[in-house]
Amino acid sequence: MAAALDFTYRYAFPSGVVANETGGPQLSLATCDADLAKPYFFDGKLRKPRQTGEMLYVLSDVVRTHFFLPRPVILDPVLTSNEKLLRLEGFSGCCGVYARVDLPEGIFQGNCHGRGTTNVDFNIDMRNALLRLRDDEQVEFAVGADEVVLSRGNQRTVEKKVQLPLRWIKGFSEVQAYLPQLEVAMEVPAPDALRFLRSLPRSSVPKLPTFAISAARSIRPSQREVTGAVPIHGTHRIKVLEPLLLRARSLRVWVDRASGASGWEVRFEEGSFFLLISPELYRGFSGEGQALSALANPPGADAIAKVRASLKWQSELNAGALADQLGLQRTDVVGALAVLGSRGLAGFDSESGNYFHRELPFDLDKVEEMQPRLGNARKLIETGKIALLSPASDDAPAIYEVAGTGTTHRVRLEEQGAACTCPWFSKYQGQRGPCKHILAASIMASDEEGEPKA
Amino acid sequence: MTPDDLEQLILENNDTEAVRLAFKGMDEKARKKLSSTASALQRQLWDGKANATSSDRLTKFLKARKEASYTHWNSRANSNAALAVFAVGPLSAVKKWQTRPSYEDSQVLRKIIADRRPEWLEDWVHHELEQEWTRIEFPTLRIWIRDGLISRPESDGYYRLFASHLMRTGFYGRDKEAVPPLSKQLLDDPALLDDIEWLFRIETNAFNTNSWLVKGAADHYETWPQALVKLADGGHYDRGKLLDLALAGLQADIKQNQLSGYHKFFRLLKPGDDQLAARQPALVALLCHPVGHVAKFAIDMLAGLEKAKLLDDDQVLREMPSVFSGEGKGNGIAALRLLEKVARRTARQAEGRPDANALGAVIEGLRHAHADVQAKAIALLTTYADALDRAQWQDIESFGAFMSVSNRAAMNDLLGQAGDAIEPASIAAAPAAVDEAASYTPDIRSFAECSVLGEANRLEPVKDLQELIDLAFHCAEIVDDVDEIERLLDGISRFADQRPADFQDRVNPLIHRMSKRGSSHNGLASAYPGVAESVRALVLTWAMGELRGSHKQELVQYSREDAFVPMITFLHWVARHVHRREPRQLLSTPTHEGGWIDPVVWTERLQHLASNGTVEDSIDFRLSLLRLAPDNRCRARANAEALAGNAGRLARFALGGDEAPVRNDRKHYVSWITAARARDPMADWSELFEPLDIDDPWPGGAVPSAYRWHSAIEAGQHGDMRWKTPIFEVEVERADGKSNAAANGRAAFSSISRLLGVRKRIGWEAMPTAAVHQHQSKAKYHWYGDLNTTWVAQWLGYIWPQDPAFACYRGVRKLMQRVDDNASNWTPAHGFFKALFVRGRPWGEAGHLLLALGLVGKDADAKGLAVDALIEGIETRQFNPALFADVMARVSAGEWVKYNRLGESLKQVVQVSPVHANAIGAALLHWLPKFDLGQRNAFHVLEALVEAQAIAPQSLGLEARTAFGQLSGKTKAAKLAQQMLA
Repeated sequence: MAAALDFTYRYAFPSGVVANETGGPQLSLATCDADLAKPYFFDGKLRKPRQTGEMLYVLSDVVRTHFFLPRPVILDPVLTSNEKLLRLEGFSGCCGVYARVDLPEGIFQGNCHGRGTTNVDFNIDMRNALLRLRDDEQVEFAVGADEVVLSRGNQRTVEKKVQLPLRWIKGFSEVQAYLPQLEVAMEVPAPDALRFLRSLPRSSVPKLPTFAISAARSIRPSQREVTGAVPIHGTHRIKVLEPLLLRARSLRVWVDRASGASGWEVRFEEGSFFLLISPELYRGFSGEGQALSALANPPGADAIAKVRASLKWQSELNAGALADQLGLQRTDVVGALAVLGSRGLAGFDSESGNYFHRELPFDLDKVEEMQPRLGNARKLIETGKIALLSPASDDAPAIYEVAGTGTTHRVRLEEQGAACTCPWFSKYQGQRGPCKHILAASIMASDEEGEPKA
Repeated sequence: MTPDDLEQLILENNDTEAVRLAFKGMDEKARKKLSSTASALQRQLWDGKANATSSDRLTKFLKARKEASYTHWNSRANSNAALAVFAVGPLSAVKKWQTRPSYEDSQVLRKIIADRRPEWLEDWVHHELEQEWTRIEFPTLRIWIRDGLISRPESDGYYRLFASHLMRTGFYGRDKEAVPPLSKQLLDDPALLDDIEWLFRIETNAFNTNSWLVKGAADHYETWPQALVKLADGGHYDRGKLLDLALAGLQADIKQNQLSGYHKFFRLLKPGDDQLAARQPALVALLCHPVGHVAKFAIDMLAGLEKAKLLDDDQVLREMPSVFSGEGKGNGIAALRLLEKVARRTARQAEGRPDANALGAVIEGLRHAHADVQAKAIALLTTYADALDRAQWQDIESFGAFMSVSNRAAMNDLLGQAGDAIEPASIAAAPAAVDEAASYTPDIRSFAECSVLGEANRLEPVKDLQELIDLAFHCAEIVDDVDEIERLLDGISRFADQRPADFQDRVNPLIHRMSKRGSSHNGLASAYPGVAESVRALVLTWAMGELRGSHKQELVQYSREDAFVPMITFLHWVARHVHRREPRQLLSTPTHEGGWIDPVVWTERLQHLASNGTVEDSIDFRLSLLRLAPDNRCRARANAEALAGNAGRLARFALGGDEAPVRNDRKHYVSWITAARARDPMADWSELFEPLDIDDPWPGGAVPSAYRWHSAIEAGQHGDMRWKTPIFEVEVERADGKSNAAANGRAAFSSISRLLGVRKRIGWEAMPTAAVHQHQSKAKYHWYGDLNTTWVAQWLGYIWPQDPAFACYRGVRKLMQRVDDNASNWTPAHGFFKALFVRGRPWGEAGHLLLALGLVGKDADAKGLAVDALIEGIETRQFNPALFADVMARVSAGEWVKYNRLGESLKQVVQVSPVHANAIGAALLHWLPKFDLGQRNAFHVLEALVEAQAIAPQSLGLEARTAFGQLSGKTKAAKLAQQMLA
């Protein structure tokens, strides 16, 4: 399997802050989708230019950073447009930090010309200009450009040839499996949050995870995991939020206790900036296997197809309503959305608790192939290396034997969770998703006969 | 040329010119025929291995090479082969990184290429210039460009070569080369002048400010900035263009180091006021720059314009607030100074009312990270309070939440001038002085008065065999906490007889894993020699059913901890029981975190053992004594009344009963001493044990231990090089001050007694309370030893939780070894802090010393845990301000402490609550009068005190007032001292 895909971002013009016809500033984001079309989604005015500029600046910080290697990459963010919301999502070069900017209606006024998802050009000139947007200016805002403007052909086109690492695409897709698991751990006023971020180490960094703990309605860092603590591995990853907190309302901290991933949501009067960091600095979201359980036992193909057909760039996909509409069980709809999310076809908004439709503008067929652990699990079944040792009974779990390297592992499928004797499971205890042995056992268990599939 | 001729040419020719001439004039068809031979030869010479189809000549040639293949990479034959590949090979062959002629062959290679004029040359150059390191030299490129072999490359690599070649010193490896001044090189090849602007667009080392780049250069040497200034001075290059390029470069996405080179170059060009004024928009744009020193440069330049009365107020005041988003104090102060000048000037022009935007920008300074910047902003706003409008007052009020505590009083004074612009209620009342009754009081109870058991720290034993197996699998990979090890040992011992039919199948993967060894530092599978290896052997004994030894004990360079010697004996003892499949409840299994055993549970265990036979005087029994909690001892003693035999007497004595050792107890001396230490860890028991006539010279035996330590600094010099090394020595001895020899008691008499068999000598290895104070292996490598496994370091404090001072001092030694090192996975030092999180037990001097070294060290893991320990220790009253002050006074006497680290840590603690501020304030007020406040960076500690005083004011004692009053001058420490005295 190739480690990266050759990909070319082609934009009709470079994004930037330019002077409009009246001489005022205009923030123009250039667009380009997977089919190399250049959609025109929006034009209007920004009601909060400074806040928007700062949010996009921090987003650019994330997408141009590899958080543990000095390897600068700029893998452009993707923007999803509909009438209610503009969403920009970015993913760091190290695949361990996901950032999302939510720009609701209150932040801009203007016309939505279309729904869809597109890459948007981020470049250094635009980045330099973003911090100079001021609220006392009338700043125009456009996502894409209309045919008339493009047909003039007087703009410099932009082509950026990049190597998109497959694990980057996979991580970008799979991050959606974490978001539904998040729960709110704490919310603190912006000044306290700023003080907290400033207190995090800059130069001499800890090897152990740091924890954010709630202290007298505020927040402070700690090296101890106490009840309610939120783990942070790689504190510099959340320090990128600092510039946003000067003008924000609060910081809401989310955590997925099972995996150790945490979400950091800077909330403004209108709009928010959401940052999700992986459980460890050196572990990106790809390969974490959080989506594997859903993929190993997906709802029926019909259910997935029906749900997929109903996707129309909605900013919220209510599973209950969708189930009623499609005549499916709610659990099937949730399962189908999880599968579609892992394929890059839906995102999840923890705030609303709902998925939203967007399609990552890459060759997503490859994403399907990038689940080696699931593939290995299926291979174990195909090669007959797994066998049911004893079926589940009232007082005993089902036990499977799986041939491993030099030994035979045992998998127990219990109601409170599966367990395996392999080193992977023994070390992580399921925190990094099920091992291939558990996946194989659960696939077999879903088969009525408990026999390996041909 | 035949392939054989080619081989001979490569292997046997020492004349590179002959190699070149051999290919001269050869057409591409002929070259192609030799291509595969050249590539195969080159590959085999590189690998040092002949193919099956190799000629005898080549096989013999390679066989004659005795050394490793890499030692021949620069040999004549290898270089010839590389030249041959360039002479006849395709692009794919020359692109391989192994195809590299030696540097001495550069000229020949150039001629070979010129002779051949290969069609791949441009592609190869492009490929080479994209690599991090290229073998092509810049003069070669220039010649090929000049001769029309290639067009001028446009890749970044070309400009990097351009920059580095022209700035070479000629020093490294080419000491005979006379490098002309850089400006001359440019003027000699004027086409290069067009390339100069690229030095401002991409990352090169042209503006790198590292001094080593010019080390050993000739007197006439010019750096790039010097050369460019010279060209501008001489009219060869437009100065204005250079100024613009430097400013544009500062907006580029490149390293900070190079950015500083750009603005230094800009200053070197000495732009006049008019030139600066013309570039004012670009300078203003840099105020938003995320790199602090770039923004500082912009502020400095704009300050120059202000002086020249050329500042564009509108532009500057619009962007200046961005400066306060950065963390740098210097930038914030510089920005406020400039704003102060603007405010003063505009106020003069408008009847005392300064430009509103200037005041608006100053208001943004209130949100700056640093208290000094906030203070200056408050002072400025106070000066112009009359000119502030309602909206500005409301902004000031809303920024109050960003204010540091030390500025809150001044902020309230400022808001007091707002009149009706804000609600009076929003002005927070200044904190009142802490009521003496409510001030912090530490826990100073003796051990017997302490209470350490609670529901929150109760340990849940392993409930069945499956849970035990799961725990063993997990511990094989990683031990998250030492309590897991305690539960594992307990489970293995209790379930030793449970071996259902499928047991072996269930644990086989564990045996397989443990036999293969793991990779995690903290997993049992990869346990290092010492106590961890013994735990691993015990687990294998249980899983395999055969007694397993810990075979790595004798590793020469490994520093085994003497404190664990009895523990290793214990583990072997357990292993033997497990091997015999005798299940037993271990007496020494903790019932609570921290290594504690509830005495009531302990006596129940004893009773259970007694009901099945006798209680043996085992290592398990001795270790259990040292873990008895101070709680519930009376109840436990009542339970122990029914216990018969020696064990009953020992138990009752340990729990405070009336029993006492008699001469017949000599053979159980170790258990009696251990019981005595369990009864009162710090007492001198020598008188009670005198009748036993035992030769016990060890600290921690009948006589308690005493630790002595001191902090100093040692100056060293070697040639011109001078340095200072922190010295920190910890020694342990008997509390009675008698050396081991003297304590041997009348040495001669003692020896005779021993010879007569009357007086018995006890070794420290058998006596846990003596072993913990031994440090025999201190000379070995600290980076390779037991305590580099975190759970083992934690376990140290579990051996004797009643008196964990030895574990704290061991931690202190470890922390000192790496006081200026970053956190490490290989030699972690944070495990020792577990001892400070055991509730209900005052820390004592050792605990406070461990805390102090954690706070002043660089290791972020240890420091973070020290801060946590301090915060929790104040909540639980285990922290003693006076003791901490004494410890800090002695530590700081060494004059090696980094006070910035300490101040930063203390400030974090101060902000947690008024109680924390009060405790830290009390500690600092105790310490600082004994401290030389003139030490470097001592002001950081004073800053912490100022913060503490702002939150929980305490009156300064006479000593503190005197010490602060002696600080004079304009140092930061003096200013802070004056602030506190005011």
